[in-house]
Amino acid sequence: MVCPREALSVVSGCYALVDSLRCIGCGKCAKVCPAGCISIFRREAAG
Amino acid sequence: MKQHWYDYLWIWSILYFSLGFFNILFAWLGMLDFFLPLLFAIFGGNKFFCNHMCGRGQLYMKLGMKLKWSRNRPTPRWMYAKWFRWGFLAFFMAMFGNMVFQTYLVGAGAASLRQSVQLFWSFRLPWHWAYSAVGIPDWVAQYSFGFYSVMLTSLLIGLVLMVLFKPRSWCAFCPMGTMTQGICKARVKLKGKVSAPVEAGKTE
Repeated sequence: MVCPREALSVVSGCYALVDSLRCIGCGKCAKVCPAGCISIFRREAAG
Repeated sequence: MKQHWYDYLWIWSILYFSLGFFNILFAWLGMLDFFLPLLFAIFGGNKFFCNHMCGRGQLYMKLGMKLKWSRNRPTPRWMYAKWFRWGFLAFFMAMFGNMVFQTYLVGAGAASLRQSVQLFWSFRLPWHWAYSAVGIPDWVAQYSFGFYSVMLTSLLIGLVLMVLFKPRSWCAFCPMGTMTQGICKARVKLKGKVSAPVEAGKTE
C-alpha cells in the first residue's frame, strides 16, 4: 500500500523487511512508519 | 499499483460506526475485526490483517496522509516500547473482561441493561435511540453497547494520535497488533524457522 515497488514485507508477522534489490530509496515507508524503525541510507547505484 | 478489494475496507470502518449510531446491535459485526487478525496469526502465521485488511489503519492513512490531517511527527518512543505495548494489552484485556462480566451479570439478571456508550472506560454517553427491545435478550444488547464502547474509544484514541503524530501511531500499540505479533513470534519459535514472506510478488 505504501511502497510503490512492493519491496516491503512482514516476515512471518514478526518484523518488516525491505527487499534492497527492489527498493528505490524513495523514503515513503520511513515517512509513515509509526515505530520510526526505517532509516534511509545512500548506496551505490545497482547494476 | 494493483488495487485490491480490501484496499477499500476503510469504508467498512466508517460504515461500522455509522450503523452502530442507528442500531447498536450492529456492534456485533466488530467481532470480525477481533477474530480475523487472530485467525490469520494462528493459522497463517502472518499479520495479513494488519498489513492489508485493517479498515481502521487505512482510515487513519486516508485522513492523515491524503487529507493531511496528521502533523506526521515521530511517535513518542515509549508508545512503541515493549513494556507499554504489553502493558496496554493487559489493561485493554482487563477492561474487556470487565465488559464481558457486565454482560454476564445482565444475562444472569443480576444487573439491568444500561443503554449507554462508555467512552475512555469512564464517561457515559446516552445512546438509547440506537436500541429498541424487541425479542432480543438483554445481554445481547448489553454486549453491543459494551463492544461499541471499546471500538469507539480506541478509534478516538487513534484519531487523536493520528493528528498529533504519524497517521498509524495507534498501530504501534494496538492490542490486536501486539497479540497477533506475539502469536506469530511464538509460532516461529515453535517451528524454528521463518516462513516465506506473504506479500504478493515476493516469491520469485
